[in-house]
Amino acid sequence: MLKLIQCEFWKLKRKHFVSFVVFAALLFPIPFTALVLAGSVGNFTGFDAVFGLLVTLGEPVMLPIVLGIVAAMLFFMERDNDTLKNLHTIPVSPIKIATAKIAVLFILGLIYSLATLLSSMIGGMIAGSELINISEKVWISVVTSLLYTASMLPVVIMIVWLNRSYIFSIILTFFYTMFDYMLAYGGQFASKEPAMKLISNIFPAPAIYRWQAAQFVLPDSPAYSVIKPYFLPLWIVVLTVFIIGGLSYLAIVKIYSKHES
Amino acid sequence: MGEFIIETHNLTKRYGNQVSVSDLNIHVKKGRIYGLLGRNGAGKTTTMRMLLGLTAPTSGEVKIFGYPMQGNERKVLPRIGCLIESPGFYPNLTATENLKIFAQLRGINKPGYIKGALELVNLPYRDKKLFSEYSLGMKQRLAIALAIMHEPEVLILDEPINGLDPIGIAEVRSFIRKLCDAAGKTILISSHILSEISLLADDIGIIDRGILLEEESLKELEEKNAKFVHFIVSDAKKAAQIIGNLFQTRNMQIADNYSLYLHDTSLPVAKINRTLMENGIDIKEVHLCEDTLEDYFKKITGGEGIA
Repeated sequence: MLKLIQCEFWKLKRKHFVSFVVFAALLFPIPFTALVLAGSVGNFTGFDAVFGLLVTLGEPVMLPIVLGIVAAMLFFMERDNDTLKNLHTIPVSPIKIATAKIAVLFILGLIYSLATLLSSMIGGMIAGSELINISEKVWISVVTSLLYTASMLPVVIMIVWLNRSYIFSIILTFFYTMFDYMLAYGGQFASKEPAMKLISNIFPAPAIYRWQAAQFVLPDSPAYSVIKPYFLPLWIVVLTVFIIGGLSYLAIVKIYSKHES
Repeated sequence: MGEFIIETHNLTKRYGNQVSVSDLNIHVKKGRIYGLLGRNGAGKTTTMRMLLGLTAPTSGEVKIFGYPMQGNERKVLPRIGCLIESPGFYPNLTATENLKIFAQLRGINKPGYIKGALELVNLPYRDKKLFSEYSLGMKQRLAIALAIMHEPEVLILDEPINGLDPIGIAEVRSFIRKLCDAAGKTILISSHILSEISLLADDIGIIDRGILLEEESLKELEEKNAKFVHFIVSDAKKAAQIIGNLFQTRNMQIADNYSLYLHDTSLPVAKINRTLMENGIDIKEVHLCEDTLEDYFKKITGGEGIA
């Protein structure tokens, strides 16, 4: 499997979108650093503020969209280049190929998240703060990337199933991500409406948001008492996203194998 | 394992009501080149895809190295190199990078394999040119390099000379011949170009509309080809009478007023010439003729010739 993953990375060579994305992750903190310097981030300051903004506002939008586009690149690669016959005759099973592609998404998500952390450290230093609690922030970055990568796997099902163009995949990813984001940041998990409550429990971003809120909302802030009843411990979020990700993985592998056999 | 490295038993592929390959029984012997000859759309590629497990047969069986292909892919496929349809590679990578991916997946770690395979097909190692910038001929060469890189015992090559220039065709032909003669590889090659098959193959299978019409060695086919003496004379009818009376034979055909085909090639041509001249017949030309593989192909497929 490691060989397959390595090969998937080799296949991305000279695909400039991937390096552009990592570069974008490094640039993304600039506006947040400006916000922090302007003093408009509540009780947080410096590094904590830049990192908090990036992890709770930046990554939930950027990471799934970026990974959706990379997923389309990865999953359409064999179809577009007619290379699957070469892989079949080695033989490598479509299940392994699909699994390696999903593993690449997780690794790229991790690289993106750590690049974000690195740039927030630079932003924090520019804002004049000390770099404290680095190990905790590395942990939050890693968990956030894994959760958001797993959370976007349902959209990969659609990409693989519909097997259409890149543009279609990008539009699909964008709408899924924005809908998921709005459910979380619009506070729909607190809705009294049963249908909305159900939807916000099925979609992953609201669950991730409720865990992140527990990390980033300060106890003495006005928002704390409002949102506290909705805090979720990490294990519940991991379980929720694991179920969504796991079922999505099975569906992706099955559809990909059927399409490519 | 019996005499045959590759054999099929009543191999059939249907797409809905359309039969692409019907009850195909081919037999490829060890260390020989088997040419599968047929027009475009005759079922050659479908057959090769079924041999490699890329397309599931509707019925019938494929046996390679004595093992049924189905269920033994892991045992059989690593011993085969193949080129099926158009070359499939990653356009953003160079030839070396493309081969490196497949070498890695095959578990080949020595760089010498890639270099050796590229040199055999006259492509540069570690060249900076991307696959997307390659000509069709270069792409085809790279596909051949991929097929031979892991030193397989069997090669299955679907139209390997497609897109090659005349010099490239000659190079690939001699290279395939060398692989068979010097390295003892068993090679199954398909083509719609009859001259290529007749120059290269030891055994020939003729496929038309999914049906294998003939399977014989090239030598046997050549022996089967009709031989005749073609006389161009001043009066073909009169010449036929004279030859008939002289040798008590009717194994002749008058093509037109001046052309006569004598199918019994054992008769003494010099004596015939002398007798015809003595009887006032002018002889313009005499040829010993033989049907070509193309004539034979036309005869058994009952249709037009092939390129």
